Amino acid sequence: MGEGQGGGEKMDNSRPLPLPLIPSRQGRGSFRTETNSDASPLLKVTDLVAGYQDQKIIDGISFSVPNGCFLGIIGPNGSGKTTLFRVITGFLNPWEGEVLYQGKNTSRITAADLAKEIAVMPQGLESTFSFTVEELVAMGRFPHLGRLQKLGKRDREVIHQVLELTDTEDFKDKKLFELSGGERQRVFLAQALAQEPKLLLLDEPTAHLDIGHQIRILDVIKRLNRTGGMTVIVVLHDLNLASLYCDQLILLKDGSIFAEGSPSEVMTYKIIEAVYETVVLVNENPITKRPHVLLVSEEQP
Amino acid sequence: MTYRHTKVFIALFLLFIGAFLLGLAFGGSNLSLSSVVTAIFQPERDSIASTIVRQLRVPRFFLGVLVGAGLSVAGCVFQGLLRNPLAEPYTLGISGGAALGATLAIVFGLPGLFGRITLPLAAFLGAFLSLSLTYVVAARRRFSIPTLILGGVILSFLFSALVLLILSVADADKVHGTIIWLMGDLSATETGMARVAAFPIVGGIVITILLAQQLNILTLGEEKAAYLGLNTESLRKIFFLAASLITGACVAVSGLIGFVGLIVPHFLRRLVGPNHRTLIPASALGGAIFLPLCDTIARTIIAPLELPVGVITGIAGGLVFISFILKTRSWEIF
Repeated sequence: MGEGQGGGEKMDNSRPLPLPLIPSRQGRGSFRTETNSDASPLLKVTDLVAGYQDQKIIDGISFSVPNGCFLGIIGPNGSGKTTLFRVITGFLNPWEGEVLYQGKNTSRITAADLAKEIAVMPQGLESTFSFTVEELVAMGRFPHLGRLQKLGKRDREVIHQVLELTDTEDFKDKKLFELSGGERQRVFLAQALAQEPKLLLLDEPTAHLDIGHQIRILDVIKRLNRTGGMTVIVVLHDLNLASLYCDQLILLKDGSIFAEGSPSEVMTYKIIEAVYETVVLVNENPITKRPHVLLVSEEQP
Repeated sequence: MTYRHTKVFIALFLLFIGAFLLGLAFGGSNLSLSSVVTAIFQPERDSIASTIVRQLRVPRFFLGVLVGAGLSVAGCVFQGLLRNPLAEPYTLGISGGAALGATLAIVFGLPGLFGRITLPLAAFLGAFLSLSLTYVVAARRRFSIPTLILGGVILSFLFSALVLLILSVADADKVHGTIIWLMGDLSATETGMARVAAFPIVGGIVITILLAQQLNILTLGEEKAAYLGLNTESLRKIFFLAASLITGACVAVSGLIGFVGLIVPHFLRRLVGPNHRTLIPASALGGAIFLPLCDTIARTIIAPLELPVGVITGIAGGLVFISFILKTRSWEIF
């Protein structure tokens, strides 16, 4: 109750973090086999080919994601971002190739075991019935509960922490339909974080949000990445957000990787113009020193 | 279980006791409350009243409890499973199959065959046939919700058309008997039959209560549910089979009693919220109050004749629900 009092404050970077979110997970995860040295990638994708029915969407994609990386997947509409995302998450089976999580093929790991390690926030989440925010976030604890087991003390602590972290504590008793788009998105982020994931996968978490909410969502994720060591893979539409937050970028075009590397390697005007078929200027953000894309209309303003 | 939930459950329990006493007191002949109590605890003092109460009204009340709870839970599960608040126990064609079975039994005079269990048996076999067909159709598409809905609804139309075909060539008195059955009626069933039906109904309710949190997560959509570690395909199968078996057993002993499975879960979702852990038990209790109460009205209102209870559930339920929607200020209906 007491925490709710200071609830008027907004996301404040100076506030001490309730991290590490994952104090001691030893023995909780069910398939932590060998202790991975940091050199081996957390996630490795080799020669993926995938699509729907007889339509091939992605073709021959390989990359690996080291522990602690903040990876962005960018590309034009229809370039295969969401399809790649769904293959990585295991929702879609690849036609060829494989996805290895900690060296193990994800198709050989049960959904229940994957959910203990990997949290996924797909696009277009909604709730048909009017669950409260707290109930929705509590569903994120489901992978860690035994069959018929109820929420324990530690589960409640985690729920409380993620509500606080995403600044959703104040409306935890409200229903989803009473919230704005940005607030809803933070609720679903809290739900994913309640899984205490080692790897967080997000498909356009900032779509349809105003700039304030975009930054708030991504700041939470970035903080957990930096201080909690959570690895992040995020599909982003907005090139400047991708540049601002990601350590590594993968730029897709027509289902293949067109360019990959750090934001300054990938986001040159030549590459962006070639992929998006539009004229752009690429500057440097004076504060972050990261590339910033400026759009140029072909019509006179 | 919050304070609010506790209050709702206590209120429901008191209503249940009230419905029980009313159900025993009213009917073809009305008894006073004291003679009901006497009949229960000292049957030897008034043998006529005690025969009416103990041999007729008590079994019938508990049949209403069983069917009301079953239909309400099945409706609640179908609404969650199909992520559609307009779903009800008969959405996926169980009713169509059962109606076909019952119509065949009545029109072709099969009751002579196995005595009084023929009609419930035929209805249950029909229900089982339609649920099997829906299952086979849906299983071809990984039990996806759109396939389940389309398959179920289309089979339902198919079975209804077959029922109409049979009725169009049948004798008038048999048509009347069939229509009474289609309206839903608690009068025809023997106690023994109700005891048999109790197994799938109670079993199905227990299974769905145990899997309530999984049902909550399924309402987030298949993709998110899978990411939270659920085996969505097998869970959809389990919920479909459990709710269908409950429905099939209810329909076999009481015909097509409408509306209970639609409005009881709706009503209780407003009182206790959408969390199936509390909603399913609350719906069971709500149905166990609503249907016997409607049955008491059906037995009393034109006594000594009886109305089919399905008529009362439709009228009473519809009026209560409409007034409820008009009174509530929130636009949120689910």
